[in-house]
Order: sequence, then structure tokens, then C-alpha cells
Amino acid sequence: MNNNEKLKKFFRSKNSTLIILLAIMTLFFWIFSPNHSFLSIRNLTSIANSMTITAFFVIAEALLILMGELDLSPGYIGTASGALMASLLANTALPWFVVVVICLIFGICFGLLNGLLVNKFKFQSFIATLAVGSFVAKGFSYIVCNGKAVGIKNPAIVWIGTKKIASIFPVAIFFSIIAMVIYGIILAKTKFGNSIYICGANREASRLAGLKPKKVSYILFANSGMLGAIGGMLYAARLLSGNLDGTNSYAFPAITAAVLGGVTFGGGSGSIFGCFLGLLIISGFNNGLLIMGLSPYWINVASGLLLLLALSADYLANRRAGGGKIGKPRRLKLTRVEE
Amino acid sequence: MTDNLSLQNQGTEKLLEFVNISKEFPGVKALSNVSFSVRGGRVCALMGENGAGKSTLLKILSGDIQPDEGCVRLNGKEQHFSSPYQSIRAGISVIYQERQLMNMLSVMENIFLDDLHENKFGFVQRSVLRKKTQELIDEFEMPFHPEDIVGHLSVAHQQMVEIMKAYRRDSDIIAFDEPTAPLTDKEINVLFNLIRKLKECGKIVLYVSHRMGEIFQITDDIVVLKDGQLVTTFKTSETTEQELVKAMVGRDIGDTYSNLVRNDKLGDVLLSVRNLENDAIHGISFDLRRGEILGLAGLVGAGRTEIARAIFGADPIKSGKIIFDGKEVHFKSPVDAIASGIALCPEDRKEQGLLLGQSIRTNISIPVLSKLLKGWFIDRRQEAELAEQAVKRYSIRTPSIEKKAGELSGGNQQKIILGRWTSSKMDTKLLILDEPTKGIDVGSKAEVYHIIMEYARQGIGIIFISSELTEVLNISDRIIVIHDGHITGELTREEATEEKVLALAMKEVEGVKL
Amino acid sequence: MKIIKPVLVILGLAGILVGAIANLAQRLAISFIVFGIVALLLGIVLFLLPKLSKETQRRFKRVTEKKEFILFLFLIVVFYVFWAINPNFLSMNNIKGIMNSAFAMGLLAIGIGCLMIAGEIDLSAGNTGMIASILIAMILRTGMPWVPALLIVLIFGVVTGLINAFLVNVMHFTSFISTLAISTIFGGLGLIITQAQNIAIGNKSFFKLGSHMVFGIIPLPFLIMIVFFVIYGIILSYTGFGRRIYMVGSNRNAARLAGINAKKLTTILFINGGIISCLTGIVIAARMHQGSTTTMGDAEMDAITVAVLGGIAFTGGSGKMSGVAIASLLIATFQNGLVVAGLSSYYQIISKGILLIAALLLDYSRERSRQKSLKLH
Repeated sequence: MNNNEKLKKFFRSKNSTLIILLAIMTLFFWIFSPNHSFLSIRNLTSIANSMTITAFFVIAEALLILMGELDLSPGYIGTASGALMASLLANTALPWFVVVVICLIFGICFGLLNGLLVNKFKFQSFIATLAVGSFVAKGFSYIVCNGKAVGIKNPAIVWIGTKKIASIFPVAIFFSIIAMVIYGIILAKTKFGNSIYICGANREASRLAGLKPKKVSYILFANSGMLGAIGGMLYAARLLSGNLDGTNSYAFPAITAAVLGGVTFGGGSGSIFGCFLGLLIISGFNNGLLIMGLSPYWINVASGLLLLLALSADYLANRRAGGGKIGKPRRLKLTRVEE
Repeated sequence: MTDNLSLQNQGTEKLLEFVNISKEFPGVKALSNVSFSVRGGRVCALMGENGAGKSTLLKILSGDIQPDEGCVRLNGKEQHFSSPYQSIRAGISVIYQERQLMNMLSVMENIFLDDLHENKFGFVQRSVLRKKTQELIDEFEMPFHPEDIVGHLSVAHQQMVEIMKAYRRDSDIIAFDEPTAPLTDKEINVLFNLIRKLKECGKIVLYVSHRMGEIFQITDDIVVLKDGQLVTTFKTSETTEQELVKAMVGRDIGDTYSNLVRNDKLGDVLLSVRNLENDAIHGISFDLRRGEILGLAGLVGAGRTEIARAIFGADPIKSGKIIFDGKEVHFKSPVDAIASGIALCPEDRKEQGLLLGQSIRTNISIPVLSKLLKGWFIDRRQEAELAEQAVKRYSIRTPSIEKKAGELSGGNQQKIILGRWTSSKMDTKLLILDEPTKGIDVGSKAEVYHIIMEYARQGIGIIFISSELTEVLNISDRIIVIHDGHITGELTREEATEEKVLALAMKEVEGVKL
Repeated sequence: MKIIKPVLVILGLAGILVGAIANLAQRLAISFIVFGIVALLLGIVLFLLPKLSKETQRRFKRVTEKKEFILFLFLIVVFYVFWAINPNFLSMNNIKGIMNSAFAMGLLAIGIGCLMIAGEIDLSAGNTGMIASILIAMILRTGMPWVPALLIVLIFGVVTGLINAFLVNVMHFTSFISTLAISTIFGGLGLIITQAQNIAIGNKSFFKLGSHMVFGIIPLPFLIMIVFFVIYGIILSYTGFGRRIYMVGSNRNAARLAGINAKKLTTILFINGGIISCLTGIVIAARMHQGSTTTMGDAEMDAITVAVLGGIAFTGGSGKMSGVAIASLLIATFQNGLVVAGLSSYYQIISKGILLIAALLLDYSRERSRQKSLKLH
């Protein structure tokens, strides 16, 4: 495809729609926010802050959604990891990087458990991850914390959580940016990334064509556990304590961002960049509402409505593109197209 | 319109007419001005290549879709069905290829799906259902019970339940769409007796099938469609297979098989299978030489696909030995088999072979992704080249390699899978083809045969699985017949005849309870 | 395997003897005796089985293979084990507690369960109930008698059901994601309305809805739940409408071809779910004397666990109310037992997760063995 065709393809793509949406939203909030503070440096960093941690969850969810699975556990795993980290730091003399590694392994183990339930025991991913996450991982955090938040005083962790470059940019932002770039490249350009799309589209066909969908599935679940752990640890670091609620509710907005960003269940399309745009829109939207004076309780409501909106737009766009053809990706889990 | 016409017309002959039916889908004119009629007491076959419009016509008959122009007439009265339910009420039953059963429910609930004999309060009268179902079961001579769960029955029995479901409605018009694919001979006999009975009762029977033998056995008239148009109608007794093929294809294929250039130089032994054993196959032993085409014949469900999958590493092996290319091999997954040079074109090309929502390019490059790397990343240009080569080589009809595989016809889809295994980056030594021409039009079939012959000439060993006896007999150098997971016989090309193969396909193996 | 039968018989007799004769603490002695009797009976049954007619054998197998039967056995075992750990377990007070906690998950499980059988799911059930509890509290504050107040809140349930049905049937969203979105929205709405405060209820006669004891021993909510289970159980198993729910869940396309209007059916079920969720929220508000964002707790996760444990598969088309009823008792008992046994509430959460996973694993192994026996056809 030459450059002209590439440009045309971009403009017709989902990402350009998102960018337009983003622009409209930004304009709206800029006009209507008090003192036009929506675009102030302070506010922008606030948005960036809220995006940082969610970004990890978004990556995790996006990859698994592409595989045709749904992971509801990374939020709970994050909380448990954060609690574990705080607890280990407070009660043992282990150096901080060892603690971090332990928590990462902890998250990976949960992920592997999910992978086991889904692959070997053929659980539906939604119920397996729900059970592991909202029951087992959550219970774990309660036990580790023994009912109350555990403060973090370790200087290294505190630095990671709160240090701001030039008093504005939290260090953690760089972690999430690097993560998104790396995963984005892996997904789009490597053999492994390609195989995610293929295995997600048709597991048996991909196996008969020489791929290893089971291995990919395990890796992605383990990865989700790890990213969840990272997210949870960053959250705990920022709050300077491992507590009971932590990142429990982060999975839902992450899924919304991924879906908004164009990731479809086993549909073979969607990119990390798209998810990034989706995340921007959601975070910007939540932040905008807050600035305009809406109580924080509205965030949940807004999230839900936004998701429904995203799905509707998706569905309508699909219908226009010609419905009922066999070539359409099997959107099994989010919207059902009557044949 | 919603009256049950059979009551009104008892005694007078029933008449089904398709009048100027046209139907268009985005990009495709499925039917143009199709008109024909069928009288009661006759079995009318609907024949045509894939894409000729047979399924669309049946869907219009059943009310699943509505025609753009024209209509269906029952006994002279115009019908407009806005839902399948209405056509059922009007006395039409269509039995589709894909079974539409409720696997978790009982046989009787499936058969009486639309009429559960509810009493005044909405309660199902189970005893009534049970009795009526048992009567049907006895009439069909089937071994299951009314309360058996359908999901636990064999595929052949499930198909029979599907047929019983339609039969029970006592519809005036029954249409069968490829009904015999999952059936064994026993059930096929029952089915044909049933069709004869329907004829005697003056019912109208439509029969869609690719199987020539059945068409000549059971039908009275044949309607041939091509590219959405009615080509011609025949009386079965007054036509021949060749004439039918010519009408369906629009050109005289001649003898499809006689143009094929066979390979006469067989190499050394490529594959040696000894006593292969797993849940589905027992004691399978055979050899295959380079450049040889080995046909696996047998009835549906005999175990041929299972043999193919076992060799390919797709299913586990309990015991036995496989020696490939001089080395003993133990494939734990298809990945290993592919690395050694074995390729499989699966039986169900849509569900197991292709990624329908992905492009041709993606579909072709799957097994060789690791060979298309530039550094850590995939070289998209190389990938595109690979796909273009395959499209050109196999004359795959598509405007571009980015077209989604699901939007192509059956013949082109099969070529994509062939292209995947024989691309320039693949070094396939053994090609296993499982029903490669299923559901493909006659023209593409010939192309596939030529491709197979070419590979044989190149020294690639080929295992050819097909349920179409003519095909197996004409393509293979040697034929192995499978029954119930065992090899029941081996025939060379010269000595094989349809009768011999069929006999072996049904032969019971000593010591095996059937 | 043949050795099992005589071994069981011997163990059984031994157990009875030890319990009767040896000088053990009373509970331990009873344990031995009970165990002994059970083993003995089992041995005898297994011994006699091949001697009975094929028909009886088939019937026996059919009953014992039923999921509901195994659940029932588990229930008895759980009751027994927790009683053995702490005899207070079987006190009236405790049983009341079990019945009360069974109510919430059980009733919700009926609403969610019907939808699951039809191939859908309702994740908004919990928060719908929560909003219902808040609404009834607010309405009662205005002095309205509770009966009309209840009806008004039930209308909210109908509206919720219609919204869910709309999203699924008209917008073609999958029920999973759309009810999840609604759940999130309701969660936020609840916080907004109450500003995280509890809304107290003063209507004394309303309290009786939640705490009246029928015949002096059975809490009214529990009775309501039982009645619902019976009604829905009958509808599902014996009426045409009920069987059509299974059909839609089993093979939606085939159901459509048979003339079943799946959209109408699921709409009814969503409305039904909404009403049941609201009813649950109302009764719980009556019992707790307040409406707040925490009244329902994690009820819908529990409800789904109950439904799945009770035999309703996510894929639709299977499961019976009897199983769900027993499952709700089982989980309530299990939960309660852990508390009585002295385990901290944190462990409860983990054990519920393990229970759910174990239930699904069991299901998986049964499916596998059934597939295996089919292959040998």
C-alpha cells in the first residue's frame, strides 16, 4: 500500500473517529469548564495521573479480549499485590526490589490459575476470573491486610509512587507510556502479536494451522496477572499504603477503554493505540465532569453510559458496513448480530 | 393464508409453485426470475453448483427470508410468509443441513418443539407427548427413547430426530437439504422408505443433494439452477448424470477425470504407520510412497478423519508407530507435524480451516510466520508477496489479498487452504486432504483435481479422504477402506470398483461389537 | 473395585460398634455411629444393586446421577460437619440466620437463573435491588403506607427490566456487558441519591415483612423464597412457557424457526428479573430497617454462584429450580458454618470462591466422563 492509500485507510479507520471524538470532547470541556481550566497543566497532569494506572489494566484486558476471553480479575489481583507489597515491606527486611519481584510472581500465579481454569477445565473466562478475582484474590487482600490498611514507608517505593519530575509529571507516567509502546509494538508487529489475533479469531483453526493457542492463552492470562500486580503496586505506592479496596474496580473502565478503542472479541482487529485513545476519552470525560462540579459519584454512572454509547456506535457502524455477511468477525461476547 | 391447506385440499392434487422469484443480497443476485412447479406425489430434486441459489430458494420457501420479487403459490393461492412460523402453519417443513436441535432437551420435546400439547393452564401433557413420540420412534424403527436427551445421541440419530420433527407435522410440503450426509446406510434406507411413503400420501417432496446416486434413486423430477437462474427441468428417468452435470456447469466437462495427468513415478516409502491406536482408531497400518495418492474410503464416521488427525498430531495417539521421512516421529501437536513437513486440510474448512473474518493474506501466512520475519518484526511485504503468489498460482478469484476469506466461494476457500500449505516458504512432503471437494462446484472441483495431480508429480505424498466414491476411485492410486476405526481392506486402482469398496466399507471386523 | 462392597460393610459395622461401645465424647460417638450407618447402607445398596431388575437399576442410576441429588447429599454433609465442629450450629437462632442469608441469594438466583437458562445473564440484579431498598426507604419516609409503596418500587423493577430488554433485543448488546453497564450506572446512582448515607425507615408494620416469623419459627422472607422456588420450578419444568425458556437457551435459532418469539420471552424474563430484584431489596430493607448502598452487599455474585452450583449452565438450556434451591441453602449454610466455626470473614470470601470453582470443576469432570462414554458408541 503506498502512502496515499495508507492515509485514506487511516481516515476511514476507527482511530480517526476516536481522535475526532476526543477533539470534540476536549473543546466542549475547555469551553464550559470554570476558567477554562480543563486544559490547564495542573488538570492535564491530573488526567494523566488517573490514566497511568488504568493503562496497565487496559493493556491486559485488550490482549485477552482479542483472544476471545474476558478477564475480570486484574483489579482484585492488583489490590492483593499492593497489600502484599505493603505488608512485606513493613514486616520483613527484604529489599524493595525483591518484594516487587515477589509481588509480580504473585500476580503471575493468579494469572496462571485463571489460565488453568479456562484452558484445562474449560471454564468460561468470565466466571473463572470472577471467582479467582472477586473471591480468592479479594479474600487474600483482606487476610494480608488483616482488615486495615498497611502504610508504606520504604523510600524507593515512595519515590516511585510520588516523585514528580519538575514537580508536575509523576514518574509512573513513564512506566505506563513505555508499557503501552512496547505492547503496542509486540501486538502489531511480532509473530506473537499476530498469533493473538489469529488464535482469538478461531482457536481450533489456528491450532490446525500450526499455532499454539493454549500457550498463547496461558501467557496472556499470566501477563494479565502481572500487569494487574504492577497496577496495584503503583496504586499502593501512590497512596503510600496497601489497602482493602485498591484497584478492585479498575477492570470495568479498562474493558470500556479497550472496547471503545476498537478491540473486538476474537474479531481480529483493534490496537493498543486505539485503546490508548479510548482511555484518553474515558479519563478526559471523567475528569471533565469532575471539574464541572459533578460529584465523583457520577463517574460510575458516566462510565456505564459511555460504554453503552461506545457499543451502540460500534453496532450502528457495523450495520452500515453491510450486515449478515459470513465475513463478519464473530462478535460473540459484546454484541450479537442476528443473522 | 394461515389455514392448514392440507385440510382444504384433501383429495385434490397439491401444487407448489415458485413464481418469478428474485432475490438480491448486497453484491450478489442470488435468484433471478425462478419459476417452476411441483405436483403432489412427486419428489423433485433441486440441483446446482454452490451459489446456484438452492439454499436461498429453500429459505424463501420456509419464510426465513422474503423474495424481492415474485412469490410462492400453494394450490393456486399466493403466500407471503413473514416468518418461518407462518410457513410451518401453512404446511411447509424444511429440514436444513445444520441440525436445529436442542441438545439439552429430550427427543420428545425436540420433536414437538412448536406444539407441546399444552393444556388449558399452559401445562405440558407429557404422557401424550411420550406416547406420540414412541409411535414415531417405532415407525422409524429407531433404537432410542422419547425421554432420551438429544445431545447424547449419535449424529446419525440426531439427524433422524430432525427428520421426525418435520415428519410429525404432517406437512404437505417437505424439503430436505442434503439430509444423508451424517447418516449410515441403515438410516438412509429408513429415510428413503419415508420419502416413498410421503409420495404415496400425495405430499410434495423437495430434495437437494449433490449425490448423484441418491438423485437417481429417489427422485422423479430434477430442477437445475445455475447462477440464480433456472436452467432446465428434467424427468429423472429421462436424463443422465453427464447431462445433469453439463446443465449445472454450463459446459461439457467431458469426463472430469480423464483429463487428469497421473503421476506414474512413485518414490520410496514416505510414511509408515504401524498399529496406530487411540479412542477412535484401532490397529491402523499402512505405507505411503512419495508421489502416491492414497485414498481413504469409508462411510461417514468410519474414522478416516480421526486417522488423519492422529497422523497430523491433532489428536493424541495411545499406541503405535509412525515413521515419516525415514525417522520415527512422535507429534505432540500439529506444530511438530508441520515442522516435519506434514499438512492437513481439515474436513470442515469453514470452522477448522479458515479464519473467515481475516484476510486471504493472513490465512495463507499462518504456518510460516516465523519465516517471514525481519529482525523481530513481521515483514508485511514478504507476507503480501507470498499471498499474491498463491492467488496467482491457484487462480483464486478475488480482487485483492485483503478480502476476507469468509466472503469467497467454497472453491476459492479450499484453494486458500491449499495455498497455505504449499506456499513457497513451506516444504510440505505429505499432504492430507479431508473432503477437499465437499460443497464445491464442479468447475472448481476439476481445478482441485489438477492441483492434486501436480503435487503427486512433484513427489509429494497425498492422503485423499472423500465420501464420494467416484472421486476416490478415480483420484487414488491405491484405496484403503475404513470401517469403524479399522482397516477392512486395500485395493489397487485397477482392481477397485464401487461395489467392492462399498462392501469393504460395511464389512464387520472380527471381534468388534457393532 | 469389587473389594469396595465388603470393605464398606466392615467399616460400617466397625464404626457403629466403636461409637456405641467406646467411651467417647458424645459428639464423637454420634459421628462414628452415623458414619458407620452410612457406610453400611452404602455397602448393602451396592451389594444388592446388580441383583435388582434392570429397570430399577436404571431408575436408581438416573436419580443418583442427578445433580440435585448430589447437592442434597453435600448439604447434609455440610450440616453434619459444622454441627460436629460446634453444636451451636443447629441452634434455632443460627438456623434463622441461615434462612435469612439464604433468602437474598436464593431469590435473586431465581430471577438470574431463569435468564441464564434462556442464554442471557443479569448482572444488574444486585444494584437494582439496592436502588429498590433506597427507593422504598425514601417513599416510606413520606408517610405512604407500605403496600402501595411496594407496588411503586416494583414498577421501577419493571422499568429496569424493560431497559435491559431493550438493550439486548433492540440494540443487540450481549446481556453480559449491557447489564454490567446498568449495574455500574445504578451503583453510581445509588451513591448520588443517598450521598453515602443510610436512609432509615420508621414504618413498624413494614418491618414485619422482613422479620415476621411464620408459625413462630420460619422467617417470612425464607417462606417467600420457598414459595417462589416452588412456583418457578413448576413453571420451568411443566409448562410450555417454561420449556420454551430452555429452548431459547439451548438453540435460539432453532427456537425461532419453531415460531418461538425469543425477544418476547427474554423481555418477560428481564422484567421478571427486575421485579424479583426489587422485591429482594424491599424485603431486605424491611429487615434491616434502612435503605442504603450496602444493603445488598455482594448478593448478585452470590446469586450467580448459587445458580451455577445449582446446575444452571452459562451456555443456557439446562438447570432446575430444585438444584438452585438446594444450592442456596448449601452456600448459606456453608457461609454461616464458617462463621460459627470461628473462621474470620476474610476466609469466608476465599472459601466461597473455592466452592464456586469446585462446583464448576465437578461439572466439568461429569461432562468429560459423559463425552467419553458417548465416544464409545
